[in-house]
Amino acid sequence: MSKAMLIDLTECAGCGVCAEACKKEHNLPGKVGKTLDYANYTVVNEVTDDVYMRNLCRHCVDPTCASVCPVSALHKTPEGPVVYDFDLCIGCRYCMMACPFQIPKYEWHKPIPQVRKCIMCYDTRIKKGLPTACAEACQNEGGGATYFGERDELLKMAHQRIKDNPDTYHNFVYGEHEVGGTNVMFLLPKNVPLEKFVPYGLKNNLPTEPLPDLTWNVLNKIPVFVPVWATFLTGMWWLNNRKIEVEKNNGIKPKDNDENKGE
Amino acid sequence: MKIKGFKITFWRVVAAIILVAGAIATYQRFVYGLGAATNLSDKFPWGLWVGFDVISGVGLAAGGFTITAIVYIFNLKKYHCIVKPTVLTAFLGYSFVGIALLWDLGKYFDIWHPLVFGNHHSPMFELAVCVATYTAVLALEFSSFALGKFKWFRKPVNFLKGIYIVLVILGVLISTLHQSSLGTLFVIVPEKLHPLWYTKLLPVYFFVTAVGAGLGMTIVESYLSWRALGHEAPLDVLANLARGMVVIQLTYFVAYFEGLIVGHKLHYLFDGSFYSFMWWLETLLWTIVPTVIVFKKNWITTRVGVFTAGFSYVLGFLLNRLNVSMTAMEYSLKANYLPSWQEMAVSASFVVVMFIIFGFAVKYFDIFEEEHPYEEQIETT
Repeated sequence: MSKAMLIDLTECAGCGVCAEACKKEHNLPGKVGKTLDYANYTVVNEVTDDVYMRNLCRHCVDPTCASVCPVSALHKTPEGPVVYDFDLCIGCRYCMMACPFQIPKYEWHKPIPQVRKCIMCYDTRIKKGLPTACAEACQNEGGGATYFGERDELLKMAHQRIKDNPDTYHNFVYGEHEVGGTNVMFLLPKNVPLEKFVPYGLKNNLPTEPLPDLTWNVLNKIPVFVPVWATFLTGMWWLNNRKIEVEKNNGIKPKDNDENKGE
Repeated sequence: MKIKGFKITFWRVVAAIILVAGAIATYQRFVYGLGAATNLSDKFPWGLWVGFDVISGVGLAAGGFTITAIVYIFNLKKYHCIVKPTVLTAFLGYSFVGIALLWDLGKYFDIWHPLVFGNHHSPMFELAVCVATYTAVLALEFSSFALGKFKWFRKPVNFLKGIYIVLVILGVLISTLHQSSLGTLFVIVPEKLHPLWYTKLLPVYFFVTAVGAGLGMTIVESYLSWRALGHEAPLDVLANLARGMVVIQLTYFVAYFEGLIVGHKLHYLFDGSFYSFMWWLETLLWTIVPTVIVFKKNWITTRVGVFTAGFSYVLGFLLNRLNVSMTAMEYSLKANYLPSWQEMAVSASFVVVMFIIFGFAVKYFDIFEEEHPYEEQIETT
């Protein structure tokens, strides 16, 4: 079971109750903003006339941020959310560099800063079996665009909508396959091309393979590589020193051998 | 610095100004936070302190494993005279990478966390473990020839000399891992890095060019200690290092260029953008200039020629690492990052402090003394 959200952008009215509910839920300072930062876990922006895009952490199925974090301060919970542990964090900001959606933000103004991002209301709601604050607000007071539920059920619903209204929706669910799939997914209106959403957080150049595979394919070679390389180096040392000993035993004075510059 | 006959020279004044600026910047950074002292932002989270102090710094300290491998594993005794200054530079370099990291990390007092709470899927974790271990190895290598002059250290020093080859092999092994993982750091951002610099082979290329940087830095530092301290390394030794450096670089460059062809990226070289300019500048500095000098007989036989080849390579190497970590990232992050004066002052201060310590260490630990009562033991084991 993996909790997820589906945001049907054809239904989003841009009212922003989701962002307000988020601020309240997490006690974030300041007014609702237009760009993600330490005090705004989610924002709503107008893409074109009456089409809005809501940006927030996608809670990737195989999260890049959790993979790059040297101390596992970010990790994927079995329930779905990707959460953050300030006590473990060392502040290297590799998560911010690596996140394909540029989600983690930093408290630059503080001497001892935290990484801040949406945690899908993990502590206050998901653990207790409640829906996220933004989804609840959207359904009750907003346009009803954000749906909360199981990932596979939401995907089924999304595909049903595309099938029923092929003229309304783009023929894909954004987040079903991107970087191996995400737990926050989008249905996009067909009359607006995907490129228009790029500045607001939907990238159009992401691979379908999970990004952590890229570095893991390098790192998992290390245990194989180390014994091989160690054997080679030790062997070279033995070989090159032996030569001098042999020459000594044969009564030849060891000479400076600068010609045979090994490998 | 109460030394007899301390003279005020131009470079000492420059050094003093840099250190004062660095101290002010340090105060701002630790009291008011990263935002107050740097030009870093949510859009551009890694700047000069990562790109220069860590990613370039580790590479420029690669001489330690390169030269010890040449001398002890490949047994080219001719190069023995440069082992000590190179190991010292590497030891200083790695120590300062670790210290400089404190300025960049948001929670600097938790710098030890990766060693205890490590996530082995993270290249950063591998880097942290390797850099910490290798600094310890370098400390042992350095102690083995620096502490011999103190009576009470004789026994442990003799022990270290006995296992010196183990330290060398361990050092090469660990260096191979972390020089490459500096490249691995960027393998995970395929869609963010400019295509001219992104390749899945970054770990391999970072390792190969680190070997070149090790040789280049050895040349540069030999020239500087000749100018400043009057210790002369044999010119033919340094010229050979330059030749080896160029062979390695050309091998790398052919492989890299093939990658550009196969990846259909050649048009990026001629699109007249800032990125293409930076790529050509980098290539000019670390590939073209050293190659031309090395193959011109009357250039490579002069001290200035050898130094220019080495220095040009080091500049190109530096530019390459900054390009990968900053220029190529700017391409996708759409941020115009330029380091603040505080960031530059802190980085420059580390360089200054390293110069000062190097000067002192050379005097106190007989770094350029080639004959040593204990040297015989290594030669025969």
